[in-house]
Amino acid sequence: MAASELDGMYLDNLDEFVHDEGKVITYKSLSHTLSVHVNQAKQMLFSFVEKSRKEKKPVHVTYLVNGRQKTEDGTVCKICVAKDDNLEAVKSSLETVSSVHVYSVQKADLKDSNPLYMSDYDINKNIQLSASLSAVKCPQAQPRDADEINQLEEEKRLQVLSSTQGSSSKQPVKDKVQPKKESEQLKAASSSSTASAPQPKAGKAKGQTTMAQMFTKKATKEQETSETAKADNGGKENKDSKNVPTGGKPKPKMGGMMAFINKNPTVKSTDVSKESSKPSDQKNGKQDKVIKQEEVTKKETSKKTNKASVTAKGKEDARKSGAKSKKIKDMSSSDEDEDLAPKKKKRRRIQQPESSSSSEEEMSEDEMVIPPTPPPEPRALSPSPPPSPEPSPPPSPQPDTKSSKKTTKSVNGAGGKRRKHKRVLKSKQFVNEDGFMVTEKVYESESTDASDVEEEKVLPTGPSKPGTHTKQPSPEKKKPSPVGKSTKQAGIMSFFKKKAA
Amino acid sequence: MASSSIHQDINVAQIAADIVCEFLEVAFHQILYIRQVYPAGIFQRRKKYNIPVQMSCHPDVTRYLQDTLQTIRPLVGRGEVDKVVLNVTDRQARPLERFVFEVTPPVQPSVNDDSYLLRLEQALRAFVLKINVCDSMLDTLPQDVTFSVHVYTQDSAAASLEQQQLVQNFPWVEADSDSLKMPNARIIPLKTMTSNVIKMQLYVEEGDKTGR
Repeated sequence: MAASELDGMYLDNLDEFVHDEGKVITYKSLSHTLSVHVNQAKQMLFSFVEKSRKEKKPVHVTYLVNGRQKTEDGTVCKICVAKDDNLEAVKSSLETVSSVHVYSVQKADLKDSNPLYMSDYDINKNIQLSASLSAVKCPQAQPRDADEINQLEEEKRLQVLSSTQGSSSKQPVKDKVQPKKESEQLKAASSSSTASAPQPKAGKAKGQTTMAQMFTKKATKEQETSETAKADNGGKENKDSKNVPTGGKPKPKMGGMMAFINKNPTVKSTDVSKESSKPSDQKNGKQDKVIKQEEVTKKETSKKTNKASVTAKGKEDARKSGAKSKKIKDMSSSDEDEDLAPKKKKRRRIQQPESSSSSEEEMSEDEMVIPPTPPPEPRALSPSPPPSPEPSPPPSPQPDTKSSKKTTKSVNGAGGKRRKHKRVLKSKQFVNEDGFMVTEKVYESESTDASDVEEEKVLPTGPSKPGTHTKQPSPEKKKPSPVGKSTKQAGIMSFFKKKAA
Repeated sequence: MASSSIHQDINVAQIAADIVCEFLEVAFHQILYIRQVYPAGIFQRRKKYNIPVQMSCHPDVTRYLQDTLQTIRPLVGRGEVDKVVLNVTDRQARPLERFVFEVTPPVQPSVNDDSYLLRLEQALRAFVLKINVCDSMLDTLPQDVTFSVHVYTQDSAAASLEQQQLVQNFPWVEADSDSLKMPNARIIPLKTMTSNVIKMQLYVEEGDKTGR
């Protein structure tokens, strides 16, 4: 037992705890508060009980009784907590009593064992301390040191992050990208005239091959023209070559676009009434993503092979006109999507706990970071890259045009008419889902026709109009840039016009 | 930043009201059990705040407590409740013990420093534990006792409570002055807590039982 001068102190402590504060003092809590071994704490409690009884102070004691009991299954070892008033009853129920320890001391007459658990609740959570004072030892169990824990936490965090980005980030990004893609189809078609076109993966889904082929054919043709353009103006060679890596930027996007166009016929065939239901749209987007991925990898090879395959124009044009009208339909449905998508996002955010919202934050940072990294080539080469949420930045629906940097010219060799295609690096601002202003640099192609007057005439008519209409209800239009828009439209029109002529 | 924006969406006062009412229900059940107002047979062990608590299974008792707390919840949310009292009375409705819960909304309610309300839960746990051992500080009650719940509030709040009955057929009435008077009462403080969500203290007013 402890030294005699210590005795008085702990007895005073216990007296204070039990009689003044009315606490329930178990041997565990005592060993914790005084940092003594549990066996010593039990002894302290026992001597305290003796003392209190001597002084006629009312205390209630619970005992931990350990013994053997005969049941119908045979003899069992029984450990139970017994109140002082039925201690004898419990003892007599046991065949042999091996030990009786004081479990707790309290002033109140306990009605059940709940308070015993309650008073130890916060103590039991500190495993290390309670283990150090316990009579049961396990030397093999070594606590991890701080470094190890930090490392593990870091690993876990990365894991969680990647999984949340994999699952949760896909969703919103898809929602966001998809409608924009749709609204951009026209643009994509025109911009394919300058950038070397990617090849949609033919044969992936057979129903879509016709559309896909159409676009591939046209695209290859465009490629040819751009090739010739390069050859033509040798003086501009530098610019062009400079443009190649950056010009690669829209590639994956257009791949996505193409794939999307590929996909569309299926949607329409099932749902001609232009109210393409949202789930199917989403599925579309998902598949689109997959296809995009594969496209990117195949691009390199298919680019070369398709160069050779230039075919008749007339057929294409007929199809294209059909495609156009479909596109317009699609765009109107994309607007519905745009309305629905933010709603969905909001709902999602409410459900998010803090941790994942931070990952969302990071995601938005990603969005901001990804755009300036221009060449997707390395990504394209790697066979199985993780599906990056956004291979290319989706240009905002209503961008502010701020600067134009690069222009390239290409000559349409087939038509014989000269057309200037400008590839303009515009910085666009839009508010992303987190409410951040995001400025992205996006290539847009403008084709200004210096020579052709007729195209300007075509501009106000035709299917471009509904296109502009559908664009307008997009969320923010602070500074509409009429110049950029009109030229953009002109580009599209001229593009199709050329083909027809 | 994200966390703060999340917290902006939360009406802390409303949450505090929910927590208070939830706690009061737990505490009332616990008091009824500890003070043996009802036989232990009608109580069942349940888990709340990660600890075992006793809860009455008697439908009428449970109903009464639920209705009471549901009706005062809006008042608590608006900070119009001063005190909630569980009044243990004898057959003549004379008070024997009054468990007084004084609830005050904090000056600046927020959950920012205790996002997962762990400390709050710990504090409420301590309350329940204190109720569990309050037996030792109180005299034993006579055999035949009953209880009622009193709410101290302002006149306007009382009027609004009368106007819109949240629970059908559960009207509040002004308490008899007889049911409030307790001669030779003494106060036994049990527990106090202060947090950014709730400020609450619990004490017992105990009348002189031997004098009856």
